[in-house]
Amino acid sequence: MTLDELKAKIEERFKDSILTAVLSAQKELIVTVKPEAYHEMAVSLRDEEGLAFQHLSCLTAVDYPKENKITLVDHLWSYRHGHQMTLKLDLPRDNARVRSVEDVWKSANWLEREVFDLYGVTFEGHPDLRRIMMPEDYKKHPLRKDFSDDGFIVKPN
Amino acid sequence: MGVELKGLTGSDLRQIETESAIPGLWTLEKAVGFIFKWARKNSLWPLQFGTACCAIEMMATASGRYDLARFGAEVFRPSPRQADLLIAAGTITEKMGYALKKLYDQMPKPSWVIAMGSCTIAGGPYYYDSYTVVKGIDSFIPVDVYVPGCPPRPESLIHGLMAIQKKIEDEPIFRRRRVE
Repeated sequence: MTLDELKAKIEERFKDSILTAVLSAQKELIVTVKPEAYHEMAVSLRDEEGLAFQHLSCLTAVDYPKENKITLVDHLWSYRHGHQMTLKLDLPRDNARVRSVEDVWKSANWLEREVFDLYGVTFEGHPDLRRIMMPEDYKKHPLRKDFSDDGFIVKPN
Repeated sequence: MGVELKGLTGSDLRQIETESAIPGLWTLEKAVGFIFKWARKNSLWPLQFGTACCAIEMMATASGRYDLARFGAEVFRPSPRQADLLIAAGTITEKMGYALKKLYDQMPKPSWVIAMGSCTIAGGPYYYDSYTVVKGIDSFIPVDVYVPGCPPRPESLIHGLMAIQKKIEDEPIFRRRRVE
């Protein structure tokens, strides 16, 4: 299956769940989904025969303070068909909550903990949502763009 | 001093007491201290603790080419309870800082600390724009000798070790260290 066929297939199958589907200049399929349809779509992407994205290779986030959103980015990979895609969803910055996909892909466990730790996104239904990198009594989320701390020294120009 | 030797003043005698190579002219504390210090400085047991690239240089120092065994400090102990020298080799993050403090507290006193490399001295290359790295381990444990470098060469670490030995020689044996 070529990427164009995959794109057409996903657009057809998840007509109601997705906002945009684009092929980037780097030949990557990037699909933006609605946060409420995220978990349901993840299950379908993993289980359906023509898609079969069994592997979540990366889950991370990007902070856009000007647009007041945090974008969650999932990279999916299919061993069976050898194709890949990127799943994105936008969350509000002040109340970033989304359904966890830990029960869909087990590799999401630590990746979601990392995003929770560094960006402050809460994953509902995650079995063990603790900080993974920073000390446990730490209060802030260091990879947010407006982060500041006593020990954080900004380089002078 | 009640005794007056011909041609010698009291200050001369005190100088003999403190500097003389003849043990018969020493005070008891100096005589006992001589033995204690000799034993301490020639059998420093470092803690086997390395967190980053400085640890590679520490391993090189312990191996045959640079041979830390010449200075009696080759017995790297995996347990802090058997060690009396902490070579903090490598970047210390805030989370590791808790562990390092605990290790230092578990070491029997007297113990000595070498801060090896820029990271442990002041945060090193992670001084700016880092939310994890401790800006110098001397903010939570007392440091005796700083060995600068990124990472320091084995010769530097050996020089630091010799500075520790000199320090052991110079300080009183019943030294008490305040631990915050």
